Amino acid sequence: MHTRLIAGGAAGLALALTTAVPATADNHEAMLSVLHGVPDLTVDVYVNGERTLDDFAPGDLAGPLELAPGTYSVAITAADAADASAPAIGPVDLTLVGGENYTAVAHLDAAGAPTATLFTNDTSTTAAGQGRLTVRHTAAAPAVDVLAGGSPVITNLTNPEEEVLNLPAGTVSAAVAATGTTDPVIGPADVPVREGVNTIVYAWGSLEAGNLQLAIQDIEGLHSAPSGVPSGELGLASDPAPATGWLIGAALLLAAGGTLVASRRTPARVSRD
Amino acid sequence: MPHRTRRRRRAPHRAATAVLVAVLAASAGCSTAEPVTTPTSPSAAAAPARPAPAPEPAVPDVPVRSSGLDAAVVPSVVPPVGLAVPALDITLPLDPVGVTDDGQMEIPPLAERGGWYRFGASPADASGTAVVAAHVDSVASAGLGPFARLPDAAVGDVVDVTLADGSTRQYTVVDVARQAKPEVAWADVFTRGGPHRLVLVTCGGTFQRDVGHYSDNVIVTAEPVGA
Repeated sequence: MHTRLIAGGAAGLALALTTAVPATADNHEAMLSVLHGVPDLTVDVYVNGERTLDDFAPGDLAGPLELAPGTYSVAITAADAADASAPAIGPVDLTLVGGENYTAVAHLDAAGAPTATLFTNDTSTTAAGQGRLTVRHTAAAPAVDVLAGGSPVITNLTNPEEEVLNLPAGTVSAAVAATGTTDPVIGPADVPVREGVNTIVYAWGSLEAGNLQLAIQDIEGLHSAPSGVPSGELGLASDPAPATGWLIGAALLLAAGGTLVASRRTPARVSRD
Repeated sequence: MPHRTRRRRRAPHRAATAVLVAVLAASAGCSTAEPVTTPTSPSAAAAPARPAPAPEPAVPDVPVRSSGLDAAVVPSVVPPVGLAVPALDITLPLDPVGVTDDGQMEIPPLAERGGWYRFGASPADASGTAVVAAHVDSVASAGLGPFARLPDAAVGDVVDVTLADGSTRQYTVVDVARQAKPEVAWADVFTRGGPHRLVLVTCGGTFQRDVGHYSDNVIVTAEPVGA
């Protein structure tokens, strides 16, 4: 399901848009998602003169876009503009490096002024059985702690910083509190930490306006395989092996009360000398 | 203990960030302050001073979704609950398993039970590899388990899998291999994408008392019937 859009302009950049893309682009492409975290503001976003996001609303997450590395001209208009010929601002240039995975977040700074942050997402491989939880403070709020199961796991996180945890796959009951406290200003909410997935949680909105909330972005496909399959413990199915190995195994079995010979179904496969 | 890293935005991004800051700050201004020179309505945007606009292009199909927690996608999985290889008289109830602290696949202690790797594909899935492993022998069972007969599998043998929803899947064996443990490319076994298949794993070769495990893994690959 590829939709390829040849963007106009002297740069002649090809903008490939896709709805099903690998989490980790190869070194020839950049991945870009865009999160709208400014309350009460709906816009259109133009990339290289093409309207790319229509009526982009607070809380919306767009992408990922698979983009050739390069510089893109971005313009933002009022949501009801006919085209980008009279942008509210811009156009401006945005440079993306091949092989990286970005999320551009429009949000409020700690004092409540509109701002934006370009985060680089961690797409390194996760250990087998683990997921990654990235927490980003993009809210008009002071420093916070993140509580998991009521205990702080991230402390003194400030806007617009992030912290990355690698955790066993599961569900985290997460809450956000002013740093040094345990009284939640967001949550608690069940956040899935999926194996092989970077789950990115954004705190956005405004504490003063009372509209703090969470946004979730998933980056899949970071998994790795277990390092082995340890599926034998006794040596009863061993090919001909040193006698000591067999005798020790037999001793273990007898000590365990096992019925050694009766339980064996392929006795010819075991050396008994 | 979770591995923790604190990250800061890297310097090369600051320029781009600054751009976006400018973009968004100005954009936000449109919604919160009196517009001065910025057109904010269709009539203003179509002011006659501008050249005639080209036909409005279609908006490309950029995926946009709500980022709300309730919109987070957690795929539902139908786990397998039982497996049988009639030709080998193997019948195994299956338990969902994960990873042990040392990074290896978790195996049910009893050799009479199989472990289905719950982070990989299920037999209910259309792609990826469903991996089922069982001890060839175990302390808890004080003896051999049904997978001791797995090396006797032959190409063409049928493998029947029962899922938790009561449905069944049938596979046929396409490969029976024994490989020294250090040489097994597990990333090629535990695939998450590509054609769907079922892989059965146990131990084989020579038991190495000094390290407490067998030298080899027995790896049986089966493909869906009709695939």
